[in-house]
Amino acid sequence: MDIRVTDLAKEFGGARALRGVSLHVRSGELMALLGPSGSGKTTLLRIIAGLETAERGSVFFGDTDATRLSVQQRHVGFVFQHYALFRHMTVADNIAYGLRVRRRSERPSRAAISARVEELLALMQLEGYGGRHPAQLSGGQKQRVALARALAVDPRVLLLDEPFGALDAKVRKDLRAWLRQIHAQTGHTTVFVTHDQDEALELADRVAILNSGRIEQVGAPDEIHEQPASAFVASFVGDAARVPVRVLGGKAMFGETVLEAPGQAMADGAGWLWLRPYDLRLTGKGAAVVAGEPAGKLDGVIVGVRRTANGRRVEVRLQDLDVIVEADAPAGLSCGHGEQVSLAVLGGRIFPDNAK
Amino acid sequence: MPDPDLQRDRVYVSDSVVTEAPWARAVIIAFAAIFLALFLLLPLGLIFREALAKGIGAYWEALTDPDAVTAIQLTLLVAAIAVPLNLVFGVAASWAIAKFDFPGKSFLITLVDLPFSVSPVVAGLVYVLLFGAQGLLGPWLQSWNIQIVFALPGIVLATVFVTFPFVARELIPLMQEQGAADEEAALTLGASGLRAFLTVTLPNIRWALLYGVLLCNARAMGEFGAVSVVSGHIRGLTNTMPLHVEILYNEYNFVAAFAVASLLAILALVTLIGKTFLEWRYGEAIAHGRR
Repeated sequence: MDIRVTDLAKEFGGARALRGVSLHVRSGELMALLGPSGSGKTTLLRIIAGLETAERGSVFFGDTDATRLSVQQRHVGFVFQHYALFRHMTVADNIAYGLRVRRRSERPSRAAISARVEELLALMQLEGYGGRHPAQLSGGQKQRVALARALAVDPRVLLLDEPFGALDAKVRKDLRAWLRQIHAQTGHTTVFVTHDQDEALELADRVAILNSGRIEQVGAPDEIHEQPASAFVASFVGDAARVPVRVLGGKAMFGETVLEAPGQAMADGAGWLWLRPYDLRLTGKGAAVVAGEPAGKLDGVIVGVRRTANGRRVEVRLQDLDVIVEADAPAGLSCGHGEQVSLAVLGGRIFPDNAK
Repeated sequence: MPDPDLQRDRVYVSDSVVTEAPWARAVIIAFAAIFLALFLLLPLGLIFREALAKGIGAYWEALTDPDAVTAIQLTLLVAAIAVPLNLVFGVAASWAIAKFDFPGKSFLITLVDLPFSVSPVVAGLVYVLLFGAQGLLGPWLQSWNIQIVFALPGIVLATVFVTFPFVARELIPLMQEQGAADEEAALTLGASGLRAFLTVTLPNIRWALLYGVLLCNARAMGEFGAVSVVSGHIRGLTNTMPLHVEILYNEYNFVAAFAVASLLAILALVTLIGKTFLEWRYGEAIAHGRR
């Protein structure tokens, strides 16, 4: 079932949490809401669930207008950041809760409920844990119980608030792969909130980037990363450094250097060129320009070298400017501290200067 | 491989920071023990000694005296009304404070504490001024033939006022710490508000609630000041146990006074033992509930 929200606005004691958010989550899709804290992503999720009410705008599940439906009527599966497991109940009772509170006419039989619980315990790889209490579980296990409890009622959509926020790095990684698998098996339309870009880019089919109550961009992870729609997205997702440029006739001028403005039209004026490490190719000082490459070159001094798992990441301070950009050093190039180098600009995104 | 000796050293150092020298510990413990013995255990023992000074027969006679029986019954009745009321008020107030944000919230928290900061005598006087014969609502109440002051309703009102904070004070910090996520989870799973309260909230707060009720009950039975002002001290009618003790004492009927007082003391002990038993028996569950 797809989720459509239109023009949602919400205020908390004078602070604008959402300023007109519209979003379409396709049926069966796994979507991430990514943004810094205070961007409104959790508020958006809670409004979809019916845990908050918006001042304006509407929420649709498929063709059903859910805007005025109570949280119970919306029939969503919600997984809370700190799991919110019922601590006085066993794992099995937690999972069965949503089925047991149904009206008698809709409630499955005892046997059907316990069969469903067993099925979910198996799906969550928690066989044999049904009799335990939440306090006896690890964080990752609690998270899986919370997910099982949400799935037990066969919800219209599945909503997860920072699902891995409270877990350590190793468990997060395992659970990520595992959530992808669960999603593939159950096929629920799923929305999860995160502030971790790796999590969003790796896990989601599409990512919605939020910033101060607005959606900046919605797109597939590759799209978000390679074609950021705004300066905010460029800076928030992935490593990027910005260089002040003047745009003139489709070319970006950086001091005396002319950079072939990489592939996007922009009005003349001041702007920023956002450069990711792979937009730059490091060469020795004064090395010849490789044929077919844009002519733009930046000169600078190496101020730091980091060894990463896959190569060397070099920090270069650009000449005459207090800007440090990062680039990957090709194997075999000496890059000692303080060495003069040139950087060929292969790509990058230009956004107008917001101050103007 | 860490050096075991080094580790032991570190443990010793960190220990010594928070642990006093043995002699200092002994002095502190002795001081506390002597203080408790002098100000708590000794008076408690004296009550029972005085009560039994003329033998068990006189003790029993004092307790079965019709006025004493009425006082005991009245005290139980007042507690039976006031404690459930404050149970409901306390849960409602804590719920409102812990789970919602609304204007005037900090004012409400202050109000909850008011009975602790106001002298019980003042509390009693307020009710007399409000409901008494010459009071604000007195003539109106009289025209309907409703008696509040110097009767059961006044005593209940005063007791409710004085014991109001006990349940709320126990619950507010716990419920604030627990937040509303559990209830929200129950609601998203389809539970009604009442169902969520009964199956999720109540189990989460049950131990703190029980503490609060125990303390509230002990105070409701033992309250003197506020009740004294509104009761009118009508023997065999509006005298609660503490008031009865005072009257007997003023009449130099020490055996009877201490006999009734011993009942109150026993009540206090039972409360304490009940609380300790709960902590011992359900300590783990209480710890879980608090988490």
